[in-house]
Amino acid sequence: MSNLEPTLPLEGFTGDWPDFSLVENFLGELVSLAVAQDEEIAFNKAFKKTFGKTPPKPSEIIAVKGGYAMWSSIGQYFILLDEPNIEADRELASKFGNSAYTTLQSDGWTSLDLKSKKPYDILERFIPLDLRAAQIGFAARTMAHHIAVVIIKFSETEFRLMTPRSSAKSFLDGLTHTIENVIA
Amino acid sequence: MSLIDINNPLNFTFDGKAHSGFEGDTLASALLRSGVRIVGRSFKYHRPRGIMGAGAEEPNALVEIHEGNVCEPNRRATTIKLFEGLTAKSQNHMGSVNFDFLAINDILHPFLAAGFYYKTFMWPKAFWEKLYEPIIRCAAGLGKLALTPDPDSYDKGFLHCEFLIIGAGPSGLLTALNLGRAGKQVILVDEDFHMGGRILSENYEINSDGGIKWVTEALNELENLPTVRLLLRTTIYGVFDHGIYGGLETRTDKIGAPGPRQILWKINAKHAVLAAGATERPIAFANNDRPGVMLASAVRSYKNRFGIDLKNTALLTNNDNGMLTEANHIIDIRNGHHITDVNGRKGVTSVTLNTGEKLKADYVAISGGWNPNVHLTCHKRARPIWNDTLSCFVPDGNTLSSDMSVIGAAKGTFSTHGAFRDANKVSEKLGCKTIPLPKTEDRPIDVKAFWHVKGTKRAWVDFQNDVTAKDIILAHQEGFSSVEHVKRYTTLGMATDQGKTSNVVGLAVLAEATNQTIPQTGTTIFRPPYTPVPIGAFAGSHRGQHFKQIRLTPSHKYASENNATFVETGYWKRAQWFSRAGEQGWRDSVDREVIMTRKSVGICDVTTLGKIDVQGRDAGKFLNKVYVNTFSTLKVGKCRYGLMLREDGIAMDDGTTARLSDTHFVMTTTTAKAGPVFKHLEFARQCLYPNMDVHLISTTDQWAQFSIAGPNARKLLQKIVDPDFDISNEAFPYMACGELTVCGGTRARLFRLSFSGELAYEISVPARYGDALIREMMSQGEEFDAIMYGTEALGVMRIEKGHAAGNELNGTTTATALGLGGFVSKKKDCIGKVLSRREGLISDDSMTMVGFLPVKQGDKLTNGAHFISKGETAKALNDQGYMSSVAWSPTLETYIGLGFLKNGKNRKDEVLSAVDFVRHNHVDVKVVSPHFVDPKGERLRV
Repeated sequence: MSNLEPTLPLEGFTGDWPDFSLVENFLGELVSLAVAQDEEIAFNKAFKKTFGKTPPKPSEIIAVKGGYAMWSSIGQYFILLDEPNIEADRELASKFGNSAYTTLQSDGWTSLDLKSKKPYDILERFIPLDLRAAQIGFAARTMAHHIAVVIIKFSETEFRLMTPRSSAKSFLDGLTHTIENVIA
Repeated sequence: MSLIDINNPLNFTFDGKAHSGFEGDTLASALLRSGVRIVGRSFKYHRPRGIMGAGAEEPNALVEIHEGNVCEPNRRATTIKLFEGLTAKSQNHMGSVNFDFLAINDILHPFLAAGFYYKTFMWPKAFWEKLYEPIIRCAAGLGKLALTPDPDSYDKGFLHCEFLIIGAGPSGLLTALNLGRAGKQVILVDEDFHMGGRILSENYEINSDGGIKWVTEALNELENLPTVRLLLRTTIYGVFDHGIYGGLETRTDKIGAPGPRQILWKINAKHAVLAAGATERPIAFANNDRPGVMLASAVRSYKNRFGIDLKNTALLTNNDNGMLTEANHIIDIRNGHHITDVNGRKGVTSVTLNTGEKLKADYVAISGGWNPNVHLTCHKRARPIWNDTLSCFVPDGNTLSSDMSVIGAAKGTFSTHGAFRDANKVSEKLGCKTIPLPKTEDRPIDVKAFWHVKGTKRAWVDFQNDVTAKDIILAHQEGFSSVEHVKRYTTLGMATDQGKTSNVVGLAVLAEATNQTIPQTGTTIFRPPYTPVPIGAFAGSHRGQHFKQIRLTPSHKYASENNATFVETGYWKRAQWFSRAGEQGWRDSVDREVIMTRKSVGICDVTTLGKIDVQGRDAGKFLNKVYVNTFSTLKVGKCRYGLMLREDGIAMDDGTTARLSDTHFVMTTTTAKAGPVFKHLEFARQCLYPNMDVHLISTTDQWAQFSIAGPNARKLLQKIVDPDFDISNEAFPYMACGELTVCGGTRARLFRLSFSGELAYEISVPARYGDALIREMMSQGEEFDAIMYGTEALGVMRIEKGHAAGNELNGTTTATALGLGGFVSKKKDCIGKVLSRREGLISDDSMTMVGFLPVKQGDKLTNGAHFISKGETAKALNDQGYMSSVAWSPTLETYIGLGFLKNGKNRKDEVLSAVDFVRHNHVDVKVVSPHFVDPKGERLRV
């Protein structure tokens, strides 16, 4: 076992405001799957076999065996696995064979869970997408102010915000500033 | 029934004098209630000015709001919601507002007509900069900006709806009710702090009851409709492509109040319903700018909405709507009467009629007809058309954008009944059921066009810019007949009100002068913003720490704990050097870091280098296309240096790329170019080589990466890398790479690369372990006196080694200039190859990177110095090249430099002058090899 202790980018931030809570959680493992050219059929077959479902559609995240699968780009998916497994990319690569290329991305992102009865009061000041109209299970890569973010709508009161690790502090500053602006 | 809460008095000051108003007042209404007549001075002539309007159209009552040392100038008193403790001041005067020394301009007015700037300040030429301009700048302008930072916060946001209804007058409210009841996603905005539009200012009955009651009931219902959102005090200032509308919401006028003062909303709407109403226009006659001359609609607003009875009023009107104004004297233009002059310099005392009769009056209410607020229709290039019956421009359905409807007074429907009818019509068009039309007034406006009373005295057209009818006629006489030229020559319709009250009158005066009709004369184009938007609102929260993101490296915390000084490199904060006790300055720290690294071992966080996973069956072929040298032949487990060109053949970036498997490469880029290179690669992948099986993904943030350099680098690493992996020179030679584990099983990648010229490696671990790894390495490195080094030492060592970096990859240099011409493969094509062979880029005379040493030991070299051959004059014609990087080399104990020199490769040992006019540093330098340390590269291969 490794002697090195992992750290979270925001050191496990938790914040509570009237009506809003924000918590940094361990993301789990995030692996990107890029579909090899002309291998879509094999890929879909391997996806079904591995995760028990067909791949998600654009702007969609679906629960799959072991976690979630999210459409991230044309011919590319993010697999979010619940359990820590630093070899997840290699294991998935072996399951998908020549039909996909895998890249470990877990450490590139920071995960913040926003819970609120009125999340849109915050999110409409932070993210340009129409999240009110978005379905449960909506996921998209977009911008929050000027920082990249993946937003996932788990329910009408629960959202996950994933942002690049290196700028996570600025992202958190921007988000908490927005929350404070809203409740002022 | 007014909307003032007399049980809630509010105290405020104006020009230092205490006044009081009530909740529901604007500053303008409170000033009128307090009997204040002069609220400012005019722009050019410094004439006393009073309140003219009651809303966004106000051209005169521009004031400053103060709080402590902070001041916000040019605020319209008519749109400031009164609050307790408001401190407001008049502006644009030297002395007091009642006695302005610059009012001398009014006496000198014959010399200050339109265009006087252009005619007056031509000669003598030398006077312009030293005399004329300073004086004009001192006198010009309205309010003065505070020189202290803005203490307020601002925010931005994004709203989405099916229907954006702009304006909450009768037509807007009824449309919102119709659409809201149908469950449509509706946003209803109004710039006022009360919704209701003109209903609030008139005595109209609706359904046999007061209009305000209908408004209140409508708002109560709208507030409870789940799909309707009401935005008060929100001005739609611009219409942009793709259904985007800019909205400015004012939360408070108070400076320094908690929370954002304003919010800039970017509203995405599938369809907009413009119900923005109309603006009443004045009539130009002599001295029509006297304090007390007001728009008739404003007089009714102050009476009906604010409960202020402006006594002894003379009404001048050319239409029936104006007749709604209570007045002591009614001068109806349609009966052949009009005003020829207004008397009373600091406030109206009487008016003179064309009959010669003089009427005593304290206020003059003017109604010259109404201009529909068509501004927002024009933002998407619709052109309004002239309606002779209504004497105004109305939106043209033929040019109107299909995602916008216009209703009510904004369309030229001036009765309340007509506004309701328009609302129902548009609601039906948008697929909704409608409610029965409320019963209310349906008076025709019955307007007779009348614009200008001719005479010898000045008659104001544009009150804010002091443009008179004479100015417009003069502009025409001087050859400016196009309305656009007249606007610029006279400044008609400019400044904060953008001609809301003046444009059409100005056009009419010009039409008279040119003997054309108004439609023939044309109209100026309305552009965003409709009303002024503070720069602070555009910035939103993106200021101070929120101005831009800061990216932190995995070792940032450790570096902070160890006295690092940080430097911004792009968005990243990198450790620049690490201070130790006893060191006198940064040079001491940097020298130590260089010496210790070259003597033993140093560690540098290089996570910031761009890392791009390039995967696919065609990954090697793809890299052949983007790099000048070949990568498809690179063996698994090896790295190779690569140079990338732009399409034009200029060097774009460099870095090493490692091959982890047949289909998997890891590319590194410079820190600065990580983003641009990724974009470049994606463009190449998607557009140039779409048939290649290749995929790109940035892994810069995924891996924490450290450079371990120095003779003891391997020894240190052997304590970190798990024993299963052999990293001896034989097993893991220079330019090797591999995946392994460290510290008892942590996944890692190791690359044997050197930027410093020493035996060196770069090790990477998943970023979650970055902090732990640097601590472990520093702990294990204690026996070697391992040190952390920052970007300064990194820079010194790369200059000592002669490696090009950002200063050399500066967007003007080629592979040849960088001494890398031999890297360009002759066996294959690549992006930029053809254009890199342009004659001027490869001639013998072209620039080549070489090294420089000062001739005189101890002379300091400076970056940016230009090389001049000895004996030549230091001028551009004799320029031989420039110094791109310099450093004090603690290894060689001298300054060293890299730079570009014409025909540099053949000028070794030549002595040149390095001339730096910026720092006044001229030294003689000798041309040497750029590789100052270990030129044969022996150290990095041991």
